[in-house]
Amino acid sequence: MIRAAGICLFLIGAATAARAAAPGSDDIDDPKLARRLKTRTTLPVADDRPVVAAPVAGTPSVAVAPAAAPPTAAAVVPAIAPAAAPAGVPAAPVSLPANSALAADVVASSAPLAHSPAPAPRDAGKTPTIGIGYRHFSFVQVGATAPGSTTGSAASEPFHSLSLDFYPISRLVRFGLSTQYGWQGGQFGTGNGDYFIAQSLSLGVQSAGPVVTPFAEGFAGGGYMRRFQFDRSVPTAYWQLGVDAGASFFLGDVGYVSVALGYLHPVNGFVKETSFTSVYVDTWSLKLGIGL
Amino acid sequence: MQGRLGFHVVSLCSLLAVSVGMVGCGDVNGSDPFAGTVMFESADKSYHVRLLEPPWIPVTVQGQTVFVVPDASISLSATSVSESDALYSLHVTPRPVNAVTAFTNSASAQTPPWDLSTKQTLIAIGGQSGVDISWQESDTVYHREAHIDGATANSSFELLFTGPKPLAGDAMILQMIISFGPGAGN
Repeated sequence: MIRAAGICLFLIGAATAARAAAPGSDDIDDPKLARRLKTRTTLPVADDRPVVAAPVAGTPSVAVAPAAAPPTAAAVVPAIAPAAAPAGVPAAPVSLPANSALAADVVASSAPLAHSPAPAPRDAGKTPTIGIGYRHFSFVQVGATAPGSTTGSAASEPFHSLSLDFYPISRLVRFGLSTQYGWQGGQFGTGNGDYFIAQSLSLGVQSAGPVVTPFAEGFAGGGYMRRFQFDRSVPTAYWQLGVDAGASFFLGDVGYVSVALGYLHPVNGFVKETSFTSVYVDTWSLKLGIGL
Repeated sequence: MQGRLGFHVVSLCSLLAVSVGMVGCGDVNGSDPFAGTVMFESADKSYHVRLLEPPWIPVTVQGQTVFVVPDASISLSATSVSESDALYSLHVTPRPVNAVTAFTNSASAQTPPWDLSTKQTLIAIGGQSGVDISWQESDTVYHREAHIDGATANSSFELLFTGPKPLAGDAMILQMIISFGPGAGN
């Protein structure tokens, strides 16, 4: 329901913006009046302050008297581009409302009038759309014990992973897809280590800022893990749950870098004798990212 | 606006709640001893050892159990594997002396003799003492031999590992060695 409402609002907004941007949106239906008035635009006028249109090369500046000024023709500078006006057709003076008019019509008979200054860029917050992430966490090497251990606890197994992160929804709420490849520390490219390929989904919230966008999200996913045990590749399953909290730092229009601290619950499922079992850990993780 | 924000907050909290609820997902905590391994107990209950199964597969050869990791030509799900298919193997042999004496006897029988400076003492998970050593027999044959005390003063077990790569620092073989212990039948 909310999504539908949001889509409607978006469509309405887009239609309004398109209409406002259309060149002929201020056209006057009456051809005669249109010839007389030529260009017509609307400028916002603040109370008790003169409105000054920004001068444009080749066009005279336009000044509007304070709203408190008497409603006479002097309220509009009479030198509004008379040169381009058709002979015998004086510029039509337009007076302002007597007090605190919210808008003033400025009439010019020449080509593009100096419009009001371009609106400042909307100070909208920035959110990530796509990026590459690097995560580090520690899992366990099932079946292995660290040298010197007398407890039989599995040896720690550091993992590094790279992910391609895509956020099809990235506003206050962000929904992401993450395709991840992880490998056993120190074994990249050797063919002798463990690795996994996983696909995860994430859902979180973020506070979009112009430079810094903090976020928090949960994620879950799964995939394939290759265990390399006694020179044999043992196919197993991998899945994970986790939460990340961090921030994206936007570097102008270049992109962003991000850092997040996470709590991860990776699980390795495999066949033990003839039944399926799984081993899990709960561990901290660090994720760094870059993107657009 | 507050309604939407509330909706999102509730959604996130729900997701987090589900995540927390699934923290228990998984059978074995990785920090538990020998997580994910199988306890094998000999037929006469004289010893037990933990191993990954697969890739380790216990096979019976002339009434004695031999543990093998089959080579790549054999599926890990195969039900019939012979020792000749082994990439790695483990032989467990009982000795009628304690571990140190058995180790000394074994060392004196080696040709060429072992480099005893590489021997290591160990303590198994059940508290039994032991000694192990590794050596290379040929370019593609390596051994690691551990002797672990049995349940009585004059009993021990010899664990002989054979593999195609150096076994001295292998963390998986180390786990199998320290998981070894005498059984009720010893």
